[in-house]
Amino acid sequence: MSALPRLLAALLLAAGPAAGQDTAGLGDSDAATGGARPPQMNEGFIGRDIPAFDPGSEVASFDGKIWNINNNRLFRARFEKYLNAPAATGPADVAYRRTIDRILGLLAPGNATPQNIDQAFALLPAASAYRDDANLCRTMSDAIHAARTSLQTVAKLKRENEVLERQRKTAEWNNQMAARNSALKSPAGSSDAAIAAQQENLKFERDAKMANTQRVLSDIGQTIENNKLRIALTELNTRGHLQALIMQYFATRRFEHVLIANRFYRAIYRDGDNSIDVYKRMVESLPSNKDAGQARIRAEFDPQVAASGASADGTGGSGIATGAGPDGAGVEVGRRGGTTGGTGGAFSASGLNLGLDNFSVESLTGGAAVAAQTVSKLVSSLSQIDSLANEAIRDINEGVEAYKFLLEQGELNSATERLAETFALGEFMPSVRLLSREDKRRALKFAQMKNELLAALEVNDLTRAGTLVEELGATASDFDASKPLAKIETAKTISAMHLAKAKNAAVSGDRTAMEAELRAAAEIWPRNPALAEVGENIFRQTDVQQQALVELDRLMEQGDHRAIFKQSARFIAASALYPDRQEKLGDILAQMTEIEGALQRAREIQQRGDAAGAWESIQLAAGKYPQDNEINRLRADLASGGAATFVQSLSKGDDLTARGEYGAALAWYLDAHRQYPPSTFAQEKIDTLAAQILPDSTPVTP
Amino acid sequence: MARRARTLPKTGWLLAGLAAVLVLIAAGGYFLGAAGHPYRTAPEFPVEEYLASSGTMRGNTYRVEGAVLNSIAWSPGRGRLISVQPTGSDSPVPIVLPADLPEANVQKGQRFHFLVEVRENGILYAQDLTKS
Repeated sequence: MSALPRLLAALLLAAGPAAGQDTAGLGDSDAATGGARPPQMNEGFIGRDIPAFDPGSEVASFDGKIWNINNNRLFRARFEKYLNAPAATGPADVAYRRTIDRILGLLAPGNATPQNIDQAFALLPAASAYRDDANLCRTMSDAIHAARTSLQTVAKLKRENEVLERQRKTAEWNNQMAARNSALKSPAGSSDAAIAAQQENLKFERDAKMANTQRVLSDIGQTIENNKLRIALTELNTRGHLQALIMQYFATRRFEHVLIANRFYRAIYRDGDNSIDVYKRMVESLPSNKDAGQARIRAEFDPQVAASGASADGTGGSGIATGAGPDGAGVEVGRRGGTTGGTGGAFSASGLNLGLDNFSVESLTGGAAVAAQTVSKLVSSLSQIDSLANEAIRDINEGVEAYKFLLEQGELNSATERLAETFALGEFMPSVRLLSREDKRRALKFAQMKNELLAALEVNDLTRAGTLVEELGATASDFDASKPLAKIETAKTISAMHLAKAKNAAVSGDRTAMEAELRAAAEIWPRNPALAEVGENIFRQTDVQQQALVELDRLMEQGDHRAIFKQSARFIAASALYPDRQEKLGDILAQMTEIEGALQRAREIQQRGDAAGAWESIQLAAGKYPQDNEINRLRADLASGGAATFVQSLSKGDDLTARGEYGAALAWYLDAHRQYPPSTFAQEKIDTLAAQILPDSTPVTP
Repeated sequence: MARRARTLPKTGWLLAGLAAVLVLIAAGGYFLGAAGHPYRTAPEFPVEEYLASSGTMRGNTYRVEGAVLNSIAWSPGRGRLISVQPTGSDSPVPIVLPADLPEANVQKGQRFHFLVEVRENGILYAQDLTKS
């Protein structure tokens, strides 16, 4: 992977609308990958510490999280906002563009004369007055001013050291002279003790004469060393400040500001040192606390610069703080506290205070530090940053041109994707900002539809998604509908399968399984039209079944078998899952079938004019099923109609039999038999009474 | 004058003779009919009354003339139960012909004069029968 895509990934993460959004931009990644480990999650040869961008899938990955740069919700919203915005062709926009172009022109290689540099520097406050600049030029102007001031300080310190050197030479000369004028004389005494005492006195006298010059010499030397350290730290400060500013511009994709600041840097520091070692040391020392989820990090970069002195009459140091904001990374370098100047006897510095305030690795702001570290690993000089900025500008301009061309070809899908990529990288670039609203409208409509499709797929609104796929296909000739259609059709099929299972579960009475299947079907396709229909049918069916069972139980209790028989189909279906009821229902239906057969036969006999025969037929059934209303009704009709005398004879015979008047009873039975000779009833009764009248007799067959 | 006196007594004798003939005819018919009902001392069997309430008739003896409809049962020791269609009634009545009754060849369709007694349970037992 080349440096640019990796840098772009870092910048996108830093600029970051996507950071902290986990996989929202991918929709349901689990569904998309089937739960498999996405390739972005695999350990690369450089691990997962460095963000990676896969141009093939348009997915950026970092720290186990993946983002699709096009399908991210916040990015989509920002992109739509851009597409809706008018072209930046207002008077203020034009004036700002002219100012920036003027600054770039003045600082262009070959033009960067001291006069032009001053002129460009003077234009920075003017450029920062425009809204589009976001006061970046003001910050740059301040940093350049600070750098220039620091250079003046360095020059002053250097001049001071030159003076001090001369003073040191004078002090050394004075010291030498003091030592020479104070040579030890020969002792005047003769005794050893007297000589020793005299020499001791002479030594004290010489030391006293040299003490002053030696003290001056020491002070000068200490001051010179202090000044050298201050020079080094001042240069470190200002260089680091400017480098961090340039990196900040790069991280926030302000590529023109990168070029401007870089050219100012070269103009200020003409020693040819373009390395960003200061910046690297700063960002590499940033610790991160990923395990904690959130971290508030402050790294102390203490170079342990200290000079011994008699007293610490000044404290201070340089502080470089890197902060991150929601719009990107921010790096600020400044002095912390104050440093005493002058020719103090001692110097103390606590060093650089590097840190990230309000920094959270897992939050949106974490992207800034990551981007800074990543960029620092991939670039080693400002020249590289300069070339990368130029390359980005070229890439952005080409992206805009490609968009216009694809738009002309009607390939809206590719055009929109190119514009989205270009926007992600060069949101603040003139070519992007100057794109007319008319040019963006078609992409806007397509992007809205596509975003709507993504939203529909995210919430599994497959009906709407299907409609949108069709519309997108009609709008853009290059729209690849295969992937969304595959997902839609697959989801529909699975939903239908769950519905079928729900139906089966309902039929088999497995309510738990039915509900689970309905829930699964609803999760896959919440607005499935068949879902409501099937669900309603199932619940209605279940309700009907319960009602039928209740009614069946009630009718069984009442013994109203005819009512059960009339609704036999309903009760058979309802009781299919209840063996006890099923068995009882079977018996009832068998009886009713028999009763209906008897009724049918009786009616047929009646239709033949044989009322007595019909009565006998139905009387047999009535004897078995005395509570059946139909039987009783037909029997009553026959008894009061065509078979009246016959039935009356039998009835009187029965009455007399009950009274013990067997002779008269037999006479009535004989009369009934006379009326209807085939009567089995009459014959049976005759035989019965005959056996009673003549015990031990045998019937005589007529 | 004399011819008119001889005519009147002749007419009177003719009327008296005619009346006598008529009396003789009536008496002959009476006696001749009584000769077809062998149990003239027994009252005729009241079929309708019997069918309505036979209990009040228990112990009574009646004469029944009718056609044998069917033989219902037969017991060697107790006799035969037949159904008889009484003359003048549509309702058949059962009559038991006890075994000790002088044997008579009772066949379906034959007409008989029965002297019957209403016994226990309103059952008619024939005491005698004569083929009519």
